[in-house]
Amino acid sequence: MEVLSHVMNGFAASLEPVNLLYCFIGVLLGTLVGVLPGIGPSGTISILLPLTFGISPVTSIIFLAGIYYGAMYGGSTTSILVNIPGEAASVVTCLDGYRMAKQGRAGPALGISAFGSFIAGTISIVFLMFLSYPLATFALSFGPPEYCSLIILGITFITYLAQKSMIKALIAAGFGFLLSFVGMDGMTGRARFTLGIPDLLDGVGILPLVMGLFGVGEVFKNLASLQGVSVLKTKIKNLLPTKQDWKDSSKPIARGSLIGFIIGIIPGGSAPLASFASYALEKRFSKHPEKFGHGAIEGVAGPESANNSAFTGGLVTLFSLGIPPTVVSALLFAALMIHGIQPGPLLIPEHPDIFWGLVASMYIGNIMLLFINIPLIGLWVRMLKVPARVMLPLILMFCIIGTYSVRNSLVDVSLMMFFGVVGYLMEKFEYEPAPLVLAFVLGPLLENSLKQSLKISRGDFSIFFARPLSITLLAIAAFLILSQLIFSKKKNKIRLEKE
Amino acid sequence: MKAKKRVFRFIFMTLLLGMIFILGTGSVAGVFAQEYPTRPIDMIISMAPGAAADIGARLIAKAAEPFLGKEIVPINKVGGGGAIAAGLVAKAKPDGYTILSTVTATLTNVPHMESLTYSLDDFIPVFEHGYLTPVFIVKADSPYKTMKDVVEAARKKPGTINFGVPGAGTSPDIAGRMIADQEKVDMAIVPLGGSAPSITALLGGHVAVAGVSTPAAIPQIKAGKVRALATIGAKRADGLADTPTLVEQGYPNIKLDELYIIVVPKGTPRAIVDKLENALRKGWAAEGEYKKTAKATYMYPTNPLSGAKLAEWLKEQSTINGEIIKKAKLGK
Repeated sequence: MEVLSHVMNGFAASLEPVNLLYCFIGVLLGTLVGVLPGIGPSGTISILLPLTFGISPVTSIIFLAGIYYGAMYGGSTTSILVNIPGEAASVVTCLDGYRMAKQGRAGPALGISAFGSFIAGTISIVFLMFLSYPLATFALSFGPPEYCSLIILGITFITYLAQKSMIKALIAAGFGFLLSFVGMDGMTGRARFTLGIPDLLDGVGILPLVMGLFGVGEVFKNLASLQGVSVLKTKIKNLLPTKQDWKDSSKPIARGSLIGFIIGIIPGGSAPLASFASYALEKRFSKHPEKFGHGAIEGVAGPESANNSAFTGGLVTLFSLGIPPTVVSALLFAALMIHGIQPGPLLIPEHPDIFWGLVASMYIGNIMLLFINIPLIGLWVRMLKVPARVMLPLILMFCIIGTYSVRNSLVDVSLMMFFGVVGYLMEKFEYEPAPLVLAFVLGPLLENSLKQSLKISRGDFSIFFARPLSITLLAIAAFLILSQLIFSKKKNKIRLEKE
Repeated sequence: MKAKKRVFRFIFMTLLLGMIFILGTGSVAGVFAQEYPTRPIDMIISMAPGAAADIGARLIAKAAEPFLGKEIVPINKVGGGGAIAAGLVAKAKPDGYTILSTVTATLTNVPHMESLTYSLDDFIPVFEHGYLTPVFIVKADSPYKTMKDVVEAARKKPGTINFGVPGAGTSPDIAGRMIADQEKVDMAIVPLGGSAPSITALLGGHVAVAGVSTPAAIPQIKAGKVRALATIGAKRADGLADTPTLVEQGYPNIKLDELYIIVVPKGTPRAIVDKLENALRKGWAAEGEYKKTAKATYMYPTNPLSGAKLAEWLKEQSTINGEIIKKAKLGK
């Protein structure tokens, strides 16, 4: 009952006109930076941080958090419309979302990702409110060995991303791993494969990679096959998801919300993993996995929901342990510190108004986002009618500005153009970029957690099998691989018999 | 028709937004200086937007502006432990219009680890606007009260004591290696990728000791979740007055403060350096957002180093850290 009275107080605080106003400005700004590829929520928040000096702590945290979860809504827009993922987590949305747009179903794709984000956002806030403390203890049980096993499990998802040839998917993944080794070795600080370019000391950036492979690659592909005047070759069908779409999406949204939240709690930059995991899960349980990659709405609904609830999951460690797991959450803490409030494990007991005010404002912010995003769909979809001669240069321009804006580096822009060519060639020879991206994201996580674990165990590999959580994760990974092998053998047999 | 118009208006707006982005990040070439400064000054920040060093740099710039009469424009050039920003400024025209804000490790540690185009000698130090003394912490229920307790435990049961540190070549990493080296015991120093993951690993019992930044540790200490074992600076840290330094605990060589500093390229005229230092010092002393924020995050230097004193300090740190890095075979 105590929780309920806190919730009521939180709503009372967040419904104050000034807080409502800042919440609205925050989510609107967030939607904007989410839609524009490149400079993300963390850049925006740090630039706007000085603006919050003059307002109360509750208002400023409501405002800044709004920018972040607002960006989550906007992030899928460019993935679906023009195949530009604004971040690693949106790569999955490109797979089926962009196909849907090409089939004239951009509206339902955008709609289901907005509704999915809304539902996942709301469900995960409930989890956050009632389960924060026990879940935080779960998060702590993840040390380097557990994390390493989790990443190994994540790597098995590569096989679910393969749509055409499994061998080609694995080759692409291998290339992704190779790329991820560029930069300073996390354990010794030694530079590897940097070609003497200082910009590569931190490795290849994720944005130049994904925007090159997907966005720029798509532009090149369109240039090569330019016939008509419009990028879109079919008629636009309905604007909102149909009854059938809802039927197909309801379970993926529910599953995505849950898995996203769980992965979000685990500390250590696993947010992109949430959307990949949800995609793999949906494909595994789907009755028609062959539709994935050809515009299956489940492939948009699940990952988009997972993406959003992973953000809320990240707040568990932030508030119950007082440890900011991501750059954005560290910025939220910085905002509180400037107001003389000590963020940490005592934040909720000492300042319940801030935590509950934020939670309540997230409900309200999610509703606002729904009302901002649904009317925008019509506008976005109409953008697809823009002639290719205008659209393609615009896409290229946005990719260049977006990549440059992240850290003002021309090397990054050159890299993006290089990966644009790579993306085009991969498309030409039927290699898929998604396994490459997943391997690229997981590579450093795997390498670092493996080396950390072995350093802790003084080189003894039994550390991965002696710990219950770690061995469980490894067992699931082994099961997934084996079940795939058996499954694909059966399928081959049927195919052979048919022939 | 109306729809078409709207589409074009949308394109126009996005183009406009794009232009603003370009203009906002670029810099405008200026005219010759009669009395410095006659135009805005570019401040290259080596850390990511939102990092503690970045926030501090932006605020001291704002605080110093009134005393310079011109704007200081912050530009982030992130990467390589600050190496990208430092390499850029080392090559910049030494006219006082390109200045660098970074953490001292960029100049004292990174050049020993990577093959770079710059060294400490390529810069004239101007002003210290923040300092950070990392601290070693243990879980609240840990049996260790001092660093010597940890060393004894490592000696009794080799292979059991692990230190979590933010990264290879950071001051907690170097301090941990110095302790293990001096005591000749087996302690694994594990780079975990930041203060937050190090605290998480400590609370989860995956490492026995964590070396983290003071602002990250203090809330956990106040909540009674962790205990401070030792700070690794020359003097006791702000906000942790009861915690003895490693120097006090029998490690006289370990004095590894990290400073946030502003430097200019070698060859910048003396008068310009003095003017900058003067403005920064006045900004440091002024009441305002910089002072308030720096104090709240335990970064406010009570007696900031500048000019020749700062240069001397940097030289000394570079020598000490260079030896350790070579010995530990970090980098190169």
